[in-house]
Amino acid sequence: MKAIRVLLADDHAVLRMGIRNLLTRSTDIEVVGEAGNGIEAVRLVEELEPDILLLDMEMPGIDGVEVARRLRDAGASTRVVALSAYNDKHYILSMLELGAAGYIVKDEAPQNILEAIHSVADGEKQWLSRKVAARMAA
Amino acid sequence: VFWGESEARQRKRNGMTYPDAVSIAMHGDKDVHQLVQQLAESDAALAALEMETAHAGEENTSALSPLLLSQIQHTLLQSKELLEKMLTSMQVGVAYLDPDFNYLWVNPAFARQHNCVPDDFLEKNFFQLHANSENRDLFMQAVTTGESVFFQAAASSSSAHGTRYYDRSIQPVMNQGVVSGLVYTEHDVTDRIRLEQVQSGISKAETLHLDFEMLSNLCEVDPAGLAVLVGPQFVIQFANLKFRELMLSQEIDPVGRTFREVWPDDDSLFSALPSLFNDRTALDLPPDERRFPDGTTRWYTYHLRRMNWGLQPSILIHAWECTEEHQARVQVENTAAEARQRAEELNTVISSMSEAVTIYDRNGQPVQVNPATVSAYGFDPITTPRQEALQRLSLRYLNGKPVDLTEIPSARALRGQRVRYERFVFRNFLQQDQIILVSASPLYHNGELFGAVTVWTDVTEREGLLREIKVERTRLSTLIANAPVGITAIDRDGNLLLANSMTSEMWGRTGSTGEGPRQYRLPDGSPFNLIQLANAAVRGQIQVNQEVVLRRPDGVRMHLLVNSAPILNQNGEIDGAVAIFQDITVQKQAEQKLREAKERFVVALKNSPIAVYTTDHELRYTWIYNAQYGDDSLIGRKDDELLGAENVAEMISFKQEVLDQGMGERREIPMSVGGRSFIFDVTAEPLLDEQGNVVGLTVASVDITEQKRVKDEMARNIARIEVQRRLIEQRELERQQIARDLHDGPLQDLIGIHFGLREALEIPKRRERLQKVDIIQKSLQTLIHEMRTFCSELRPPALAPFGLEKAIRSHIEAFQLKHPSIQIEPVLAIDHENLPEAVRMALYRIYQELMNNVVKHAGATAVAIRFEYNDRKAKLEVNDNGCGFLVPHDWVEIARQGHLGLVGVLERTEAVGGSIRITSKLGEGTNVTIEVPLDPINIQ
Repeated sequence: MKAIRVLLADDHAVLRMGIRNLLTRSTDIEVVGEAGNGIEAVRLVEELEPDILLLDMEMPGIDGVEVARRLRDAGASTRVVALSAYNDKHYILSMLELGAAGYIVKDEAPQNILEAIHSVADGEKQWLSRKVAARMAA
Repeated sequence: VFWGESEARQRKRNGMTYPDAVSIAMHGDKDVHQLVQQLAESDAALAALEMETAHAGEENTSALSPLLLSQIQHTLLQSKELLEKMLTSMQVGVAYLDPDFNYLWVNPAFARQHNCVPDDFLEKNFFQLHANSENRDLFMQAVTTGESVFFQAAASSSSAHGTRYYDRSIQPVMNQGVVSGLVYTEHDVTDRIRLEQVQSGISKAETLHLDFEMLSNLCEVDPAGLAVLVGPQFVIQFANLKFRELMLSQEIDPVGRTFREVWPDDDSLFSALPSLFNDRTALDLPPDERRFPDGTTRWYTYHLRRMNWGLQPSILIHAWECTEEHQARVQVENTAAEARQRAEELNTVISSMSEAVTIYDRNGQPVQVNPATVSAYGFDPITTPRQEALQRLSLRYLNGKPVDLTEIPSARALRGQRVRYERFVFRNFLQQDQIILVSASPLYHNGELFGAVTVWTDVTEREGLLREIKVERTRLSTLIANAPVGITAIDRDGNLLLANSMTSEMWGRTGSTGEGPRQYRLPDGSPFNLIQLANAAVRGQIQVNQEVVLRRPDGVRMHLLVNSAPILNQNGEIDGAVAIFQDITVQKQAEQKLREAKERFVVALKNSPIAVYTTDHELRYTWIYNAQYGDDSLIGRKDDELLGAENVAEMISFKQEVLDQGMGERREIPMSVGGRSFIFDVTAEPLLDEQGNVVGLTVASVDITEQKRVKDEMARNIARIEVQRRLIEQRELERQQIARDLHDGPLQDLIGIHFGLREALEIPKRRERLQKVDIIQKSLQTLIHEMRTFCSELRPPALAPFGLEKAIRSHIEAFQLKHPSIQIEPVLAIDHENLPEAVRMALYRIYQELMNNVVKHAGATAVAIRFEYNDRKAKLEVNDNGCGFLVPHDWVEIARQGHLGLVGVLERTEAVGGSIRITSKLGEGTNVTIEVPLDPINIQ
């Protein structure tokens, strides 16, 4: 079975490390690179063509929203899973509209990140945690 | 024609009017009745028209043009003639009897039925004439009960015509509850009776196997067409000669053929046939047209009857031609409709007249009035009992004497007199005396008087005016006689019409002979001739304020101001001229002295920034000195004439105040000159004459516009600085609040977690340690949640990447959780990233602040939020139904009171170059609308 190739984009190195540790426990996930800001993230996606970009929304320079927009405009095949501290309904809806294949609220990350990546890799179009999905429906 | 020559005689005898004839026919045979009614209508319309035409010709007061009148009259005459012919040619006999059964008139059919001419009946008694009449009881019954009596198919034999049959009716004519006459009709139904006899004859013939030829001969007696159709194919079994003549267009023998074979195109008659076999025994068909190959069209009526031919069911057709009747009827209907329309038009005209018009019958009973009459009388004379109406309408002569009932205008008109524009006094229903102008005319029909019409006009006001004019004229002549100026008037031939006493004094003569003094001179010494002046005026020239020097015969030198003008009559032609002379000798001398004094002033005021001027008591400039705009063209004019009343209202009221109070005053006054606003520092002092009377003003005026502007600007800047300072303080407070919130909340929590972790590290047992970490993790989760909310409030996450609409929606949802009782109706345009971020941020903050106000101050239960934008501008509107407030004019004051929220809104609006409109009413909610232009130049 081929491993899922994941690129991490977050300006907090500590958080990146935590996520990498979490992901590498899973044998079918391979972290192919890490980006510390938006420009780097766009460049690495073009270079590495990962299956999934795990994208932090709040980054200096160009933020996650802009990265997602550029990738969509460039027609990149990499699927974006957004990672954000915000759980604002309209923010999340707008992100999904922009083409994000999943949205993870950061404090739920440890429990949900693996499920999100697997689901998106399996073709899920708009992955949300149960808690967030419930909120969206409200 | 129809009435006969003695008609007038009959009417005179019975007092019967034409409209009575209408009511006679009301209950008669349907056809007769309709015709008589139409005839009466057109006759009444004609009578009204004749009256109107006569009136129009003589008084020239009609609203209708004479041409239109004559057209209407022509149409009516035509229709009347037709109707008369119809009634005359009717086969129904009609007679009119008085209550004692004397004949008053009969139509020709009636006479014919009795083998007489109409005159044979007139004024003879019915029962004397018809000695053998057995119907006296029926006639008596009609007279005593007032109800109609019908008796049918009574036979009456006469040697000349064999036995004939009549349907008869007696119908009483009621007039004011009393039977005033009887309409007696005799409808010759011999044909019908005979038809029935023929039919029974045919049946009988069949039954008795009588000779067919005999039957045929019997049928040929009948003047109508007769045919018998047998069986379901309607085979023609028999047709008499008349029937063939009427119905067949070619020479064929119809007997033995089916109906369809003979008349393949006849649908209307054919379609009626089957019903005779199904559900009817007899059927009368309405007039129906038949077209013939030679192009002619004829009209028929049919009577169909079911019978048996031997054992076979069959139909008897009885056919009459009615072409002429039909055509006449169609024409009559058309003409009657037109006549009705004309009558209606005439009625409308009379209805819309402002004069009260009343039409009386020959007994003086009003029969028609227009609305003006009802409002003039105060009641409707038609529905009011006669006696009461006469009492209420009592008239008096102008000298107060009551007018005898036999002398009132309508009574005189009914005697044939014509009343023209006479004045009476009428006390109306409000008990006010009115002067009314009354005209009245008798109404004639065929030379016979049958009523009267009166026309009232209320001229109370006009009379009052005339009286006032008389008084005015007396006053005027007194005024002219005693005027302090010389007034003369001449006619167009130069004859002196009027010269008041002052004129004589000026001329140094007594009496006026028409000759003025010849030694007038103009100021330049050239001669001046009064006659020339007057003649010039007669030629239409107007002379204004011509100054003339006069040396009177006694040697006194006088300065005169002469005005003259032509006198025009109503048609604008010149009838003469009037000239007015004013002695201005004293003024002239004073003027000279003033001129000398003025020179001294001018020197003193030179180079002063002050404008100094004097005015007369009407505020006309009489003298002016102005260092900048020194200009004598203002003299003799007023501020409002020069600058427009709306621009100088305050200046004028200030000057008027000083004039009225006679005390000097100083005031700052704004004024608009040539579209620019100025402020003047004005000092005005009353100008007194020798007797101490206020005759005008002395005014000094300084333009302080610029000083004022600088001062106001400074005040505004100080205010702005103050607002800024307060906003900065406010922001500092907000920062302190954030710092305090962070310190008291998350920081304390973090410290707690920090200690908790350290504690956990020191717990030796793994299980307990993990439990502790789990607790710490939960409090971290809470902390994250708090921080997230905090950040979201500081900066809504959706605003920058996804636009104002998304940010507002998020806010509304959070807001609803906190305030579920407030109903929010958002109408938001989706903006994505279309607006500049500064505008989005500003509008969001403004929105937030307005929502804060809704919660904190408005106590609203509903809020409507509207956001829209286009290429040029973005618009945000927040509308609540809360308690409202008094919108302040002074923002500085609001800032001072510590209400910085709205001030912040204003400041944010200004910062993005926008405008704000706040409308609020106590108890009716608040509407705040922000508009921000999207032209990038306007956005800082």
